Parts: sequence; C-alpha cells; structure tokens
Amino acid sequence: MRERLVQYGIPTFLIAAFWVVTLAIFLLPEPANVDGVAHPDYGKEREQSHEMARGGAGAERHGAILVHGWLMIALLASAIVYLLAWGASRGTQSSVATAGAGRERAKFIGLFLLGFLLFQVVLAAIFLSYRASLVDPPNTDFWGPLPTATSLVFVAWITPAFFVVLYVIFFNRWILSPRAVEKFNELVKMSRQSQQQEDT
Amino acid sequence: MEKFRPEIILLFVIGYMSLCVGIGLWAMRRTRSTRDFFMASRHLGFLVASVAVFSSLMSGWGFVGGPGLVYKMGASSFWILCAMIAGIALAFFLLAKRLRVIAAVRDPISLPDAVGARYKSRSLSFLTAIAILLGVLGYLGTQILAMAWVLKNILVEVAFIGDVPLGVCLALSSAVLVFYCVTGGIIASVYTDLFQGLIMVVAALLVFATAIATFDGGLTGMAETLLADDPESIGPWGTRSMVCCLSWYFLLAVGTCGQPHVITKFMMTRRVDDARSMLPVSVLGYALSALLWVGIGLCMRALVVEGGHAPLNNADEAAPEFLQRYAHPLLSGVVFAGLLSAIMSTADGFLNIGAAAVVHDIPRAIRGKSLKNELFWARTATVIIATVAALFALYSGEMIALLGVVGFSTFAAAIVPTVAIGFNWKRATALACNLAILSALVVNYGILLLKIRLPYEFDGGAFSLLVSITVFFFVSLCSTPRKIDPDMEAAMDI
Repeated sequence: MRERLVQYGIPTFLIAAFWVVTLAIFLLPEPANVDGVAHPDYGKEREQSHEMARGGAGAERHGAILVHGWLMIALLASAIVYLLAWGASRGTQSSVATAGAGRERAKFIGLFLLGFLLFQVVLAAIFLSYRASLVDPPNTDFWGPLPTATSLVFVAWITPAFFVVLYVIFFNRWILSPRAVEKFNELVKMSRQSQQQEDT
Repeated sequence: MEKFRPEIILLFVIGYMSLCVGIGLWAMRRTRSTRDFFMASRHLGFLVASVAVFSSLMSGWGFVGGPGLVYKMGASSFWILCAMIAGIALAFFLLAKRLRVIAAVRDPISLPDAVGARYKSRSLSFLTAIAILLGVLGYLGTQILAMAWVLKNILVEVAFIGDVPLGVCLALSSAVLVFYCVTGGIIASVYTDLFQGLIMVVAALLVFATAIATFDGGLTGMAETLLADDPESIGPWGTRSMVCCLSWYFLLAVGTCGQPHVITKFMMTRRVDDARSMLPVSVLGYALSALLWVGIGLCMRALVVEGGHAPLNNADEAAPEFLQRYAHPLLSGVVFAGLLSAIMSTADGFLNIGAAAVVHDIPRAIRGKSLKNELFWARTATVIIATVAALFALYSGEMIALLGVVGFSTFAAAIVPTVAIGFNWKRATALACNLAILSALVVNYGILLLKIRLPYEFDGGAFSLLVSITVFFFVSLCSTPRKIDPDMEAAMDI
C-alpha cells in the first residue's frame, strides 16, 4: 500500500497540482507589460534598433501572482527531489530496497528530506525577499554583490549540489551496491553467451 | 599587441581548428565499425565522458546567446543556469547507471535502439528517431549559423581579409566540423569535446575575472548601476515575467535528462560505476563555464546603461563586443576559440545522433534490419545532414532561430517520458510513449508555427513537456504493458 502510494500517489498529486496552479495562473488577468517593455533609452522603440528591455514596476507585474509562482516552484522542487530519490532507490539490489534495510532506508529518507527542506527554504526565501524588495525597489537590500533575492537565485542554483554529494558518497550503497554489481556481471555473462549461441 | 588583436584572435582560431582536424585524423584510425562511430565501442574514460556531457550541454547558445539574454533582459536567464545543476543531477540519478547497464546487455548503438529494446516496439523506435531528427535539424542549424557569424565577426576585423560573405564563413567553419565528425565519428566528437570543454572552463574563468575588473566596483558596481536604472532588471526575474522564468526552470531542470546528445554518452563509458566520478566533474564544469554568461552579460548591460559603451543593435553582439573591446588580445583569442568550442562541442554530438537516426534507427524500424556498409552510409549521412542544416540555416530566415529554440524542448518532451522515466518504470507502455511523443511534437510545433503566446509568457516548450509527461503517465496507467524481455527486466532491476 505504501509502495503504491509512493509510486502512483505522489506523481499523480504532483502532476495534478502543477496543472491546477498553471491553469490558475493562466486564468488570472494579466497586467500590462508583464514581460517587460523596451528600454526607453536603449530599447527597440527608438529609431535605432537597440535591444534592451526594462522590467518596470515589479509590484504591478508580479504582486498578484507571487503566491501562485511560489506554489509552482515548490511543486517543481518537490517533483525534482522525488525523481532524484526514485532514481537513487530504483534498483532492487540497492541497499535501501533489500530486506532488513530499515536503518539504511531511514538514513536515505532522512537525507532526501533534508535536501528537500533545504531546497524549499531557499526557494521560499527568494519570494519573501523579492516581496520585501517591492516596498522600495531602488533601495533594496544587497546580500553579497547582488540584491538579496537575486543572490538567493544563485543559492538555489547550487542547492542541488547537496544531492550530487549524496550520489558520490552513497553510490556504492544506493545506486550500485556490490550485489548489484554481481547481478550486472551475471547479466553481461548471460547476454554474451546467448549472443554467442545466436552467432553459431 | 593591441594593434594585432584581430590577427592574434585569428591565429588562436586557426590553431584550434587545426587541433580539431588533427583529432579527427587520430580518431579515424580508431573508427572501424558503426559501434566505434556511434558508441566509441564503450571505451570512454570517466573524464572524457564527463567533460563531453557538460560541453555538449553548454552550447554556443550558452556562450553567445546567454550573455545576449542577460544584456537584453537582465537576470531572467539566470533561471536557465539555475536549472542546470538540478538537470544534470536528474540525468545522472535516472539514467547514468540504467543506460550503461542496458548498453552492456543489449549493445544498442543509439538511443532509439535502446528504446526499441525496452518497449519491443519498432513504431516507438521510429517515432523516437523522427523526434531526434527534427530536434537535430533545428538545433544543428542554429549552431552552424552561430559558428558562421562568429567566424565572420573575427575575419571582418582582420585588415587583409575584411568582410567575408556569410555563406563562405559557413562553409569554412562547417568544413572543419564535418571533417572530424566524418572521419572520427563519436570518438573524434568526444575527444574534441574534452579539449573544447577545458578551453570553455579556462575561457569562462578568465573572462569572468576580466568582466569584474572592467567595471568600476566589480559585480556590486554593475548591480548598483542596473538597480538605479531599472530595479526589476537585476531582481530575481529580470525583465521577463516570473512565470516565464519558472517555466524555463521546469523545462531545463527536467528536460536535461531528455537531451539525446548528452544521455547517449552514458552508454559509452568503460565501466558502469564511472557515473560516480562523472557527475561532480560535469556539474563543476558546467557551473564554471556558466560564469562567462553571467559576467559578460551583466558587464555589457551595465556599461551601456552608464554610457560607457554604445548600445548594441543586436543583443547577441554582447559577447563578441566585450571580447573585442575589453579583453586582452590573448584572452580574446582563447575565448573566441572557446566560443567555437562551445558551438562545435554541441554540433558534433547532434551530427552523430542525427546520422544514427537516418542510417540506423529509421531503416531498422522500417525494414527490421540495418543497412549494408552502415559505416559508409553513416559518414555519408553526416555530410548530408550538415549540408541540409547549413542550407536551412542560410535561407530559412527567422525560422532557424525559432527551430533552434524548440530543439531543446522537442528532445525534452519526446524523450523524458520515454527514456528517463520509462527506462525506470516497468508500468510504462509503448502506447503511452507514442502518444507522449506525438503530443509533444504537435504542441511544440503548433505553438511555434501558430505563434501562440501562452499567458504570462509561460514557455511553449515547457508546456509541451508538461503535456507529454501527463499523457505518458496517465495513458501508461490505463494501458497494459507488454511483457518485458527477461534480460531487459533484469537490467531495469539493477
């Protein structure tokens, strides 16, 4: 029952929820210039074909869909972490999948949950700091060399490196255990034998 | 040395292209069969394979288009970069081991081959090959055109050469690409990728440092200048809508594991556990080479806004202009070589998988068997595909840029459900995959050709990916999967 929930329930929920949020966004009235305008000095409205766009008023463009946008990225991050965890635990020879693997499975779930939470916190922080910046955009706070929300985009960029580290450290336990290697070698041997039989 | 900047750049480019030709000749001696030509006989070391992975992903679009996007729309395109580490990680978690195991068991020489073995469906293998071919032609055309423009920009600055017609530049640059692809196949492709990837990382680091040093106050100075001009441009969404940025994130993060020129490299490694070392190298390589995208883009936008540089007529001029005006001549030489590297490292992968689709996958799907003299036809097909893509690029006008844009999403929407999910999920059915690929092509090209703009600028390619994943998942649940062959099933269990 739990396996069916994980295998079918979670993907169904994620896909359905993503559609609901997407369609909700589509149905919201779109503010003018939601995708920016030509820069008055360097944009295409001038005679010369200069190419630079301008964002304009952030509160007007994004104020009404901040929550929707956050839901969208939260669902997406959930889907990504789900797929990573699923990919890591797929093999039946994985130490996570074998009988008596309670402790290993708990560690696996705990670490992926930690990564999931990290991801969600960073993404939520982007939205919160962007919302805060809308109060006085020209005087927004900086974190490092960039405005806080933009710096957090780069933090979101490297957050998945957490899972890269898990992949490297636990590769021989979760992804390709010694038992999996044995099975793989057996399979290759059988495959070569049947290929030889076909050739003769 | 400044006086000879154009000549120095030209020398670096000639040197780089000569090296590609040399690698092509070296690889030719190692290419004796279609297994060598398409799969490098599964003998790639982890370093070569991992650099090939990230350099295939970081195409010319990343080195030219990326800075142009930042110039044009500020921080919007950072979401594309932001998605890539997640995307590369997903590709490895889902497919690195899986494809390598299947490769050992069934010895496929292309992705459609592997698809046919998994689903026991020639129609699916055929459809996958068609999707790949469509994506390749569009994507390859833009890469070839980009190469020609870069070469034209280099040659026009050289006094004794001057303005060379675009067609001639296209022929010259494509000749080198085609030569090493024809002679050495995928072996030439990945070993030039190794060299190209290293150039890209070095170039990106040096350029990023130069961009920081060029602008007063470095990155903070650029950000403050842009903030004073337009706070949204340096905000997290840039000048595009938030929804547009998030849809790009979706497309790139999930769609990376559907890029055939990337994931086929998983089938070529020497050992099945090479993936463990490959992932961090690929991620690091991509992250470092992306610094050029950020550095040049922000610097050029800030320079124009503060009046330090004339506005650009075309956003894609951001990178070449920066290199011509602000980078040391030697650095410019390295980076222009890096630019061509970025383009060619992606284009060679496309040529190879396109040739496999034409010569191997489609005939096998239709006739049930391969062509005779397959290696000869593979080489011929490489030349023909490059020629068709080049002509298309020269004469199709705006269409080539549009087709290039949908190239990534065509691959993503067609291959993510079928391969990335389906190779791990026994419940996946051939019917679901066929419908997913068809829906992906219809939605993607429908949005493109009918010029449909989705609300809030939600990316059309991302929408087609969402549709295809949905169709795939629910049709799989509602249809009965065919019995998987025992060896494939065992491969899926490992």
